[in-house]
Amino acid sequence: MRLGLVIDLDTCVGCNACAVACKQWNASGTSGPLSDDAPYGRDPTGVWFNRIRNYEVGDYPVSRTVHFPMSCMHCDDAYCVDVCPTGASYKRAEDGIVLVDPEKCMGCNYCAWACPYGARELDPEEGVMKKCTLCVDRIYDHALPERERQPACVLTCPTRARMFGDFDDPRSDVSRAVAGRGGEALMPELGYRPVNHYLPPRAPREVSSGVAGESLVDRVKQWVNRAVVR
Amino acid sequence: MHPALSIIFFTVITGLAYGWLALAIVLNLIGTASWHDEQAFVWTAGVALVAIAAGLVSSTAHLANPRNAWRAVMRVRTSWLSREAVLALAFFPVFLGYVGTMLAGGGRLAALLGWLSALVALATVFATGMIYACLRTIRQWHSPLVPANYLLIALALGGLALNLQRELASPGGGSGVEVVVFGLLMLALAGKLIYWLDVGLPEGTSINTATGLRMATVRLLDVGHTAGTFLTREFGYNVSRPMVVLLRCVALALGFAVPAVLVAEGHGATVASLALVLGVAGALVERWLFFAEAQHVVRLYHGQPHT
Repeated sequence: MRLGLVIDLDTCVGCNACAVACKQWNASGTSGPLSDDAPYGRDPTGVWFNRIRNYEVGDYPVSRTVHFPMSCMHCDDAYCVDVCPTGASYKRAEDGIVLVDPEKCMGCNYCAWACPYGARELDPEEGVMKKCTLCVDRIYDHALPERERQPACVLTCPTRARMFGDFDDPRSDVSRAVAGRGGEALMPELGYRPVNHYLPPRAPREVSSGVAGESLVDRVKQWVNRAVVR
Repeated sequence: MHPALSIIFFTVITGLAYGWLALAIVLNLIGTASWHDEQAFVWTAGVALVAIAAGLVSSTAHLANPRNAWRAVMRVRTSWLSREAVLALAFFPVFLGYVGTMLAGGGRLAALLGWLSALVALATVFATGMIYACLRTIRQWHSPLVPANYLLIALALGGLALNLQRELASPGGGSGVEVVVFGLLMLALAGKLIYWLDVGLPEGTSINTATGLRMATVRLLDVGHTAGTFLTREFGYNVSRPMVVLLRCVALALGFAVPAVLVAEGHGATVASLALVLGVAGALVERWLFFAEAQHVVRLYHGQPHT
């Protein structure tokens, strides 16, 4: 098994619900606490397994916003595991999940340096490295109904932009989504072979809003403006 | 990268001590230098071992959970940090064996342990360099020039220590040591210059390959945090270009050029001490720059177009 996530950049609306659900579940789960410093202060900072950044793709008017959630990619070639000097970081043979054993971690940050995706964050309170566990304490929990045995971020996503499954199974939802929509891994040139994949957003195009600047005079003015800039 | 002072001090001071011992042992074995007398020998060994121990203790200062530091020797098969720790620890018994056999009168066993000590010392410095050079995430570090620089600078600093030691033992000496030290300083200078030329060349990874959004220009709108995070503190260090140029010149002049002139032309323990102090200061600046100039690819997600 190779468990991981597919994130649909076309439908993600950047609501941050996945990050909040992740924090809520994991702060009280086996990785908890995810310590915060001054959470209600001027400079709130803390440990998050999932962070969402927002990018503008293209130049106005041919542009769009892409919301970009990132967490551990559970790479096939998880170099963060190789560089760990203590053996605290490991990749499970049975499902490919990359985990940290807090009993062994010495907090040297070396794994975070080796990770291209910023997926690892040191918890200064406990002095150990923390990261996405793919909700390993949910997905195998037989006390939960079967449809809830999924990572918290996937369950909570209101636009179903997140999928969880086995990439080794060609019939799984994640494998079919990646094959059908041309899903891509991030920074493939580094050779980490990330398991998580991103479905590309549709390309931005100009759509006339039909509100302003559409009269003949306005269009001539626009043309002159563009010509002058050139 | 955030330049952690404990790591800068650790790499410079242990590099100096390992380079010093390796150079002194080898130059004695091949007959270019001599330990002069038993007292000078014990002093050298003692001072260098204290420097190494101080460096190793300093290196644990950047750990968030130092009580697990002993576990750092557990992953020799894959981790250069582990290899460095094992080599650093292995150096102590091998070198103490060399000191013991030398004090007992030398001989073949002493020579064997001497060569072995020098080899382990240089292997430790090489492993320190490889800790950085093995990371594909930081292009300024992912280069064979990095361990080469670490070795050359360790040997150059060690040479300055050896030069001072020679001046103290036999003022005005005139052995071949100055020539060797001058050569090492020039090599270290050339290595660093080649490294800086090399890291100046741009590379393919960009905000487009990082996000996979290759259809158009990509720029960051909102980084998603309202204050600093672990990632910004660890990887978000910035140093301005004029500052980089200034510090590079300072490092080259202080660390290599001026000490080389002092070694070649100067005489007396005071000049040799000055050369060593300037060399260490220059190496500290060089090591600070090594961290401050390194740009981790996470910065691409934080809006930087290229690393």
